[in-house]
Amino acid sequence: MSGWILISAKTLSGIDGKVSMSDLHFFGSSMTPRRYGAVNWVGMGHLYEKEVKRFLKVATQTVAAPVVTTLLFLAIFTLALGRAVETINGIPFSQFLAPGLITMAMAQNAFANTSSSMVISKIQGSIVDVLMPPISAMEMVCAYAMAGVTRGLTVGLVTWFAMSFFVPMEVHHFGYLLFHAIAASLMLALLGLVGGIWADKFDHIAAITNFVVTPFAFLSGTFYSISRLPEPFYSIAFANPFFFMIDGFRYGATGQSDANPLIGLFVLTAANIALWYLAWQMIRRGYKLKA
Amino acid sequence: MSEPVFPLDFSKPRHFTGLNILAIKALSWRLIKGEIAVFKLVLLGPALQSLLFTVVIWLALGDQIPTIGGVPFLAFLTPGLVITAILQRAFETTAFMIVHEKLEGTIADIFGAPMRTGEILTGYVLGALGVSLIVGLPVWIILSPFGGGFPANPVLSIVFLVLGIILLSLLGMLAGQRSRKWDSLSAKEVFILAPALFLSGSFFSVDQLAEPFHTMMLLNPAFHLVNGFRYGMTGYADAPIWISFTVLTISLVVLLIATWRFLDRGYRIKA
Repeated sequence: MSGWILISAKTLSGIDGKVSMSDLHFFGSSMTPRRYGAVNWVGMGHLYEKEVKRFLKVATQTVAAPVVTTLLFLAIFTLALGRAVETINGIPFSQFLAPGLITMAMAQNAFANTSSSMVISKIQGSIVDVLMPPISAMEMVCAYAMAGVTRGLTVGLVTWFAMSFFVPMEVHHFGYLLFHAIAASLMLALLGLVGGIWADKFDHIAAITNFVVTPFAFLSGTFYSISRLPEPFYSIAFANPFFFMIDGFRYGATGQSDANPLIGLFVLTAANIALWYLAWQMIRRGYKLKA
Repeated sequence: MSEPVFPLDFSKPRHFTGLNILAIKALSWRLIKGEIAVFKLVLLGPALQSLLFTVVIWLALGDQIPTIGGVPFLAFLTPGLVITAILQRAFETTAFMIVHEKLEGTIADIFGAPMRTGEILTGYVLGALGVSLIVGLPVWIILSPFGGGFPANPVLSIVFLVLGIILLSLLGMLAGQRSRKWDSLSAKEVFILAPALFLSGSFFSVDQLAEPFHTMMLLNPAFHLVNGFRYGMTGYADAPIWISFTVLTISLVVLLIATWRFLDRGYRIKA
């Protein structure tokens, strides 16, 4: 091992200038660097695979636990409010609630996936193993974000299935449903990536989850129609991407929405592009990643 | 050579008479200090979470706030949220501490100290009591504008609160001792504790439940904790108070014996 390092260091720095044949077998069959096309599919694919396996390995924690928690929410809120609030905008309360809770679960888990992965690899120092290989910043963002989306969609799908035993789950417009599921997961996965890069320890991530992600998810119309809100807050809701992802997903499921779902389409796309750009710039410049 | 290095004389073994109060104090302070030093900002997490629940329900209800047994729904709800947050933290305090110390290996420092099993138990429970009250106070203060406010029967509220904290901290010790890893502890928390706490009638009146569920609810000790605490706070109870008190006393005795035996044998602690 040490011989390999010594020889490769000498060769790379060109101290001796010459490489003897006996040195060559240390490098395997080829001395030419490996060439990649425009996209390093191998590297990106493996990073994605590593990120997905990371949460699937502990699926009890990462999939089953959020599903149970979401079902609990459905039970307690239906029991607490079902009598007083029978319908919202013409649909039964539990059917109004279910899509919102699913979006919330998807969003929180997509966020947890990227943020925890980033913070853990930073603390343990294994982030070097991701920064060293020939993967560009764009490919890194893509792999992390897609793994976050995968976790979000997995949780969403299982929750949907579990809820269908208790609440009639309908699909009104599959296109909107799918778009908002992916856009919501992607937005939070990117937010998690940005948060994970920024955070120095777990407390910071816990603080973002407690004081940003959870309040936004709760107060963006999961549990009520935003037409309930008094004036300044009603207008503010329309500047809140969390509101559009919940509202749009609910439109896909029930056909009812507080805002025009087309607006949500644009707001979420814009938010995702902006966050993607931010994450890309952070990784490209090595903000809090490289010394 | 004559100068002693330590101010204490270690040439003779130290003798403790009666209870080792020094050690109990040290152990419970350790829990409280650990919580405050490690978490800080996150100490306000439960308060924020409960506030979110309340605001969301308040907004969802709009102007059609129903009453349950003459108590407005939000005043009915807030005692349930307060005690749920406190009980959850009581469980987490002891369970997290034990798993953490097992994984770090520092649990030997506690079992190696001249403490009897009962003293270790007391130390943990008192520590959890302190932590839960520190966490619970902001929850109560934040939620008091929504209803409730000052308890109708303070003595009863405190009795049920303390009973609940002791029960949950004992449960936390059992769970912590059984868990070899963080994963298994959080599985217990998510799949057993959270359903028991959240489906305990903290958010709704059990009267509205259909029959098999209504009886199941009365078998859940967490329901009796919420019920008793709510009676103390608002004067309204879903079930007679003396039944709740009896159920809780029996649970307490059973749990005390179980925890004491587990701890005494060093189950999954001593090799």
